[in-house]
Amino acid sequence: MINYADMPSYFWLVSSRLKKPVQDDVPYTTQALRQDLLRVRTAWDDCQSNRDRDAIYTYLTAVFGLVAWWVADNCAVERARKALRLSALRPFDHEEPFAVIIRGTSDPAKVDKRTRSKWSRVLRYALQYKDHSEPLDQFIKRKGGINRCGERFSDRSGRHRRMNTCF
Amino acid sequence: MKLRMDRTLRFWVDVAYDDIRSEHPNRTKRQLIARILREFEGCGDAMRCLNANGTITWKASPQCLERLADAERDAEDELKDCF
Repeated sequence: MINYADMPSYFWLVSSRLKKPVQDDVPYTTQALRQDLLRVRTAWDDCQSNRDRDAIYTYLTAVFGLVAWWVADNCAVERARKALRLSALRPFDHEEPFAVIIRGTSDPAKVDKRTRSKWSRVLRYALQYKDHSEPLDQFIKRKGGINRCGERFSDRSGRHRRMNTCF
Repeated sequence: MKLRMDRTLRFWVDVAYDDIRSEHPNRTKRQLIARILREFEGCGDAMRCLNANGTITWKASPQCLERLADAERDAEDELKDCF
């Protein structure tokens, strides 16, 4: 029997609900990737200058929107690697695309490793379970908020259970 | 596969297509539209996203929409100044 909990972190990317590659014939250029990253960074700046407690959803929606179509195009892992190179960042072992984009577009002084990991789990959870027509913020709130969605993803991937065993 | 896009982007892609079609008589409409989208995406005016069905579609970027809104405001101001 396959133990999904031990699969590499990028496993979910190739086993998502989007089984069929839906590519069109417009190549995704380096310049286009730069523009996409710039847009996500702008979303980060906007959410930082906004005091509304829901402002973070603007940023998470931008990250989610970018990686979601990369996943649909079956190129998320390689594009995330390229994004790292463009941002002059060192790759981390087993870092998946959402975490890469968050690391490359947010302020590391404000988003530590733990927060990055939590947001990345929330977005992976949304990628697996959110209906495409539902806005990300509505989905997360409906599922109990950012922290709860992060926990839900951990529960489903088996990490939470293994951690409990360790302690 | 059809290149899906939102109404705003479709309008500007059609404008660009009408501009360049006579210069490229040997290219198909689809090839020219793909080239236009590539250029629009490279300069940040167009972006790809997933639609409600989970299909990749194209839309005008926030930057493009902002510029269009500015241009519309300017045009309205100029029109007011005329009267």
